[in-house]
Amino acid sequence: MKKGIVILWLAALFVAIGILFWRNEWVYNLPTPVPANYKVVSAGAIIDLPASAKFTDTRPVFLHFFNPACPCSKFNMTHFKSLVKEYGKDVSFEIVVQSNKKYTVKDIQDKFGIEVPVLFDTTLAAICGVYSTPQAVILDPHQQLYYRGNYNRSRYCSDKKTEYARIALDTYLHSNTPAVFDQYALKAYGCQLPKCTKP
Amino acid sequence: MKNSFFNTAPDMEQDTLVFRQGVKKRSDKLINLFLAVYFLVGLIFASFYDTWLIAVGVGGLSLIAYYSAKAILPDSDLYQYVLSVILGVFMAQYIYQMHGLFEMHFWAFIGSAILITYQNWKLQIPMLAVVIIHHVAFGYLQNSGVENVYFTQLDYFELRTFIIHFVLAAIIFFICGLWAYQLKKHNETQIKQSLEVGRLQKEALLAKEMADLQESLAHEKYLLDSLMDNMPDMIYFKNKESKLIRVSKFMAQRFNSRVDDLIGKTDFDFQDEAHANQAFEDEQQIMKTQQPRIDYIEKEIGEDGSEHWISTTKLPMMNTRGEVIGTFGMSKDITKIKTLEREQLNADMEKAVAQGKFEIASEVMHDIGNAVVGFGAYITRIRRSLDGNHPEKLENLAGFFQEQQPALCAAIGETKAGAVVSMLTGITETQKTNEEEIKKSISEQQNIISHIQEILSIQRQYIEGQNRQERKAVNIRHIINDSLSMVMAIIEKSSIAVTLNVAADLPGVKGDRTRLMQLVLNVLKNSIEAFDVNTTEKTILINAFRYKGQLVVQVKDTGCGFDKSVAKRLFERGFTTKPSGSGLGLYNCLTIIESHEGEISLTSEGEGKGALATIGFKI
Repeated sequence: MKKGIVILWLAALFVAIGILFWRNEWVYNLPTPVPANYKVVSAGAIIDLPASAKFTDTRPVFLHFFNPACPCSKFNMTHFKSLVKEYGKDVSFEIVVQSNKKYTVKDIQDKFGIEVPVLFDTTLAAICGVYSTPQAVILDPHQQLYYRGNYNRSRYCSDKKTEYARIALDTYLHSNTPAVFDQYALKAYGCQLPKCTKP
Repeated sequence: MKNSFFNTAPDMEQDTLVFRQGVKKRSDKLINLFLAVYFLVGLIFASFYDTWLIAVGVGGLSLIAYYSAKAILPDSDLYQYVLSVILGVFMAQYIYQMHGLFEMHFWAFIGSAILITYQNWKLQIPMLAVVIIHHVAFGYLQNSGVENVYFTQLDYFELRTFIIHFVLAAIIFFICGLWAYQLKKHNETQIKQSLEVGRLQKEALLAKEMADLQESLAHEKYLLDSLMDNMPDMIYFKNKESKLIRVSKFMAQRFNSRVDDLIGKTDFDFQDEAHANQAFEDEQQIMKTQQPRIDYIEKEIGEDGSEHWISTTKLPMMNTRGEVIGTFGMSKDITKIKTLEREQLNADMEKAVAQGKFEIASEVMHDIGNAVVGFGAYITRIRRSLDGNHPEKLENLAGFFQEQQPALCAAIGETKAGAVVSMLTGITETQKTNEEEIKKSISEQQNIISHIQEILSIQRQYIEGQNRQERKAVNIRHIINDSLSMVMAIIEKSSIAVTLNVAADLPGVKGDRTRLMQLVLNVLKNSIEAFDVNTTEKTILINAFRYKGQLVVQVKDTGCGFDKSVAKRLFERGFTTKPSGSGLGLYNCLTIIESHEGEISLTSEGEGKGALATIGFKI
């Protein structure tokens, strides 16, 4: 009897541990569920950016959709920094915060340790067809969507072969032929966007 | 025989249990430390990628799972299995926290190694299960998102590598499980061996104890057998029914039987019924009261009608639990002792009679002595009276009448005057003759009295020797002085010069004062009587001094002395050289000195050369 209760109790604890793991990790192994009212924005489409995110120069724009509370976003920060460091001269990097918490620009910049423009416009995601974090969006100077997808096949961004965002940037900057991405790159993985941010 | 010595299984179980508990206790302590470190490591990892929720949440829940299981079921091994699970969970947590850092997989090996401490190979299984579930879950989840499994960030992680990865992990778990198993087995073997060694030691000890016991028993049996086979007494042991279970050889012989033949028999089988009945009742009573009967004496009449006295002691026989299981006892034929006692009694009676006789004789002799003294006194008075007579007066009267005869003739006639003168002369003659006769007779009487007194003295000496009493110390100077004053009159009359030379610090002599005076007096008298009328130099020298542990008294005279033939016989009873001597004086001296454990000698260099009497007393 006592043993039964203990086993039940332990089972409850392990379920709780399982839930923690699920919510923080395992769930992100599955493709992010596509929201019901999601509108597909295909590559090549003209993105009409709001005023807050208007292009300031002729460089292509790299939008990093970032949620400070999303485990996947956290794991991705180092990788993003490396991209900024590598392509910062050629590409205009911007961080688009996806959170219902209040952050200042400095808060976000401090987290990354780099000075990159930070946008809090929550409409950008829908405009770009983004429904998870972290997601990379590359717009060419004509505001055409060049790439929208995952950073890496590995959730830890450690797989050099599948650094999709880097590949996209590289291809855009140095190749005449457009890159071809597979489903691992384009099917969104990661955290769902906070609900209150939805229009 | 039930002997826990040879039943090692419970010991083995017990010792194993104790050992297992020791392992458990020791391991639990270590695990507390390890888990604290695990939790801390989680917190440290959290700082890298901001994974505090997982570090605290998963780490905390894991610790709660372990410690709650341990607290609720401390005696069960369940919490150890929980530990195994949470070590797997910690590994998953670290992998997550460190961004899937491949090296975090090594925590599986660390966890697996930690679990060895419990020496239970089965503990590897839950962690292995967690690891498998963890990987399978990833595979499933990722596979359900996209085709093909991918859960690694390593580009070289192909299927082959993956298989090697799994095989190595399995090997690690297997080896750790094997070590745990072998440790346990080795320890159990050691316990078994030490138990075996202990058992063998105990057995050896027991064997030695048994041998010692046997030796001791054999010795005790030898002693008992010696007693039972050689003691000239009837010794026996009987059971509750008064049947003999052991008898002494002497007892068997007494009843004309052999020891073995008497075993199992009762007194009714070899004693007369009355005696057997009495013995049976006595024994039943002793067993009932548990009181022994000691040294009670019975008279038995033998088959030949002879009288036997038997002293018997019977005691209750107890077992080690204090229960009465029979009786034992000893009977001794004390007929000889009884006879001796009777003889002793008779002897005592005779002695008492003899004592009575002595007392009577003593009194009689005392009375005779008194009578003799009285008689002597009268004789002395007669002699004095005689000495007071003046026969010369009667002679003078007769002479006067003879001278005056012519005148008398004229007065009364010649015939009558002649008759008167003749009658007076006759009376005077007769008176003179009679007086001489009487004096001679008195002298004889005095000798006889002296003789009688000496005999009495010897007899008294003999009687007193029978019941000698404790003697007091006597001053020998006083004895000598007193003795001298008693004979001083004769000494002076005989014109003897006495020189007295007595040392000042003489010790006392234990003895009878009267007897000692008699001794000294006798010696002095002998010296006095040794002087002839014609001897010109009459001297007696008395010395008293201490010499070689003795007090010596010497009486030396210049008297007539004696030759060697006389010297030999001086102390014989009845021997005398004096015409009126009794021959008892020196004999008496010898008797007195012997009763005082002293010695006496009388020597002379020959006739006419004086004599020396030497008396020695022990001091």
